[in-house]
Amino acid sequence: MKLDEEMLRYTVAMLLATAAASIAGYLWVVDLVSLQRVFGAMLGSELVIFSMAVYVYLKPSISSTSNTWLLVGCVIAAVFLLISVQLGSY
Amino acid sequence: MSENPGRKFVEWFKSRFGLETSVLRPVPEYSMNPLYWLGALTVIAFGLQVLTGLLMMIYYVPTTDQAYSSTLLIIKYVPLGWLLETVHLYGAYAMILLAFLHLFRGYFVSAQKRPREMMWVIGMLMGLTVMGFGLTGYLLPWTVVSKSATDVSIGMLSFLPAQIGPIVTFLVAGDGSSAGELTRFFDLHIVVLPAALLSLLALKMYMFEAHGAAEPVNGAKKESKDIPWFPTVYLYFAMLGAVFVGVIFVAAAMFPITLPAEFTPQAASNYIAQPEWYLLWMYQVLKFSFFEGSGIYMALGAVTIVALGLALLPFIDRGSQRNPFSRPLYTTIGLILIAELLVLTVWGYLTPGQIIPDSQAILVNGGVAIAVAAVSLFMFRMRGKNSKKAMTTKKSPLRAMALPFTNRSVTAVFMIPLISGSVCFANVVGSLTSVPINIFFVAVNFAVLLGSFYAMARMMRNLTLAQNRSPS
Repeated sequence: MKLDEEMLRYTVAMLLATAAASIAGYLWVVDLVSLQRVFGAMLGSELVIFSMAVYVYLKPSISSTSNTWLLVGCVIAAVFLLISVQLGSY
Repeated sequence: MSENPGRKFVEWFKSRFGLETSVLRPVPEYSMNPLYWLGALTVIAFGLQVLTGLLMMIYYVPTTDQAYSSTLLIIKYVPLGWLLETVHLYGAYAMILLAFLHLFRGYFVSAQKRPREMMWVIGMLMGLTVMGFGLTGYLLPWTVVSKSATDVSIGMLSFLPAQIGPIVTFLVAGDGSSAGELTRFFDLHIVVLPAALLSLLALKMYMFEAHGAAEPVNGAKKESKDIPWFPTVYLYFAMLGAVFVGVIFVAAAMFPITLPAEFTPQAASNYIAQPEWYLLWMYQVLKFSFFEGSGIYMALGAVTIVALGLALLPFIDRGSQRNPFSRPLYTTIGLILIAELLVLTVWGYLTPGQIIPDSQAILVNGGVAIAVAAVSLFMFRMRGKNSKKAMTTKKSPLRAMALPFTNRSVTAVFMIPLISGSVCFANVVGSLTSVPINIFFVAVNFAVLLGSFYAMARMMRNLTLAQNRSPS
């Protein structure tokens, strides 16, 4: 399979969508009484991941953007997820 | 070539919802940049405030005996109530911060210039409304911190002119009872101010649709094409909004709100009133010793003059130049304003309740202004030197000699702070040197200040002329 730019774009979008769906599934079943702070942080991470999926969709139509922002967004989302996990360990 | 998998669905969605005929004008490609969307992010913050506020209203009771306990109930016992409360608080902070960023970005890129003068004035009114939200919402939890700070703000209303002061005080604070104050602030916060903000927003959006976004100052407009709202701009808007709300949620989860003690007259007597961070700069100005007592009129007058100057900026700065590097005078004033706001805010936070001596006030504020002006002038000069054409162009000695402020309105705006500054300066010099204050002494100070401002202004004028001759 040829891994051209278009293919890579769809792969990243699929990965982000899977992450967003996994977190959404987790949020659906999470125990809100005992994990309230985790819920808040996960919700924040979910929104940032969603925005990155949108970014991947938008990228071809906006010439001024670059992959750097995608990287920055994904790093932020990862940090937020780590914070969620950390909050859950209290 | 394979078709985009979502295209069929997008086309169906567009046709069924009538999105081909969107009332919003297409967005130029150059404005697909977060800096162009600071105003839109402020609106998103407002939406978040409305949503969280509505949910909290289910439990909140706006009476003096239940306001604190109902807020405590939301934070401690309602599932995720603390998250709602914290997101509402941080959303308010973000809304005020974004409004300030939107204001200063507009200032530096001359977004207020023709034909967007009235958009700027409406934007300033919206900014005031946003500050009003902060002020009125702060009282509602009825803590000793919020009530004491609000009482300081209400106390300032008594310095309004006698013709309107009592009426405004009654409308805002009632007959002086705590119950009247809380009810009015609640009404202002959830009915009057949202209605005012939405009306102003509608007016501004209407004008925005007519004039569009301000062109970039680097002239990138020529190569830019328009992007339709659906789906690209909607998605871009959703993307920015999601990042913004996501950051607020994670910040709220990391640093949840803790409620200070409940307001009681006894608790308030032991507490030094201090406003929220966005009003600390004004609080610090009011603590300068020469503004103590009857001098508070001068302090409030000076703050009003600065606010009016900003609101009427499109009618003062009427030049055609929009690039901040071609407007050294206004760029320097803007930088000084930002530096003073930051310094006063931090200083106010560090010195709660302390009266600031005149000499310190002059040293710190004057020092900051001179340092920022010097750095700004140095940078403009370096920039001027880097331009070969500016180096070789022959300067007209007549133009170089001219006063920088040829516009009458600008001269008037310049003279008012200069005169009030001379009075303050004379007071300080007099108090430090024991020289008796009289008209002659004030006049000497006025001459010294005018001389130094003239020298500075002439330098800026020359730099502007050199800059205008250089290629953009």
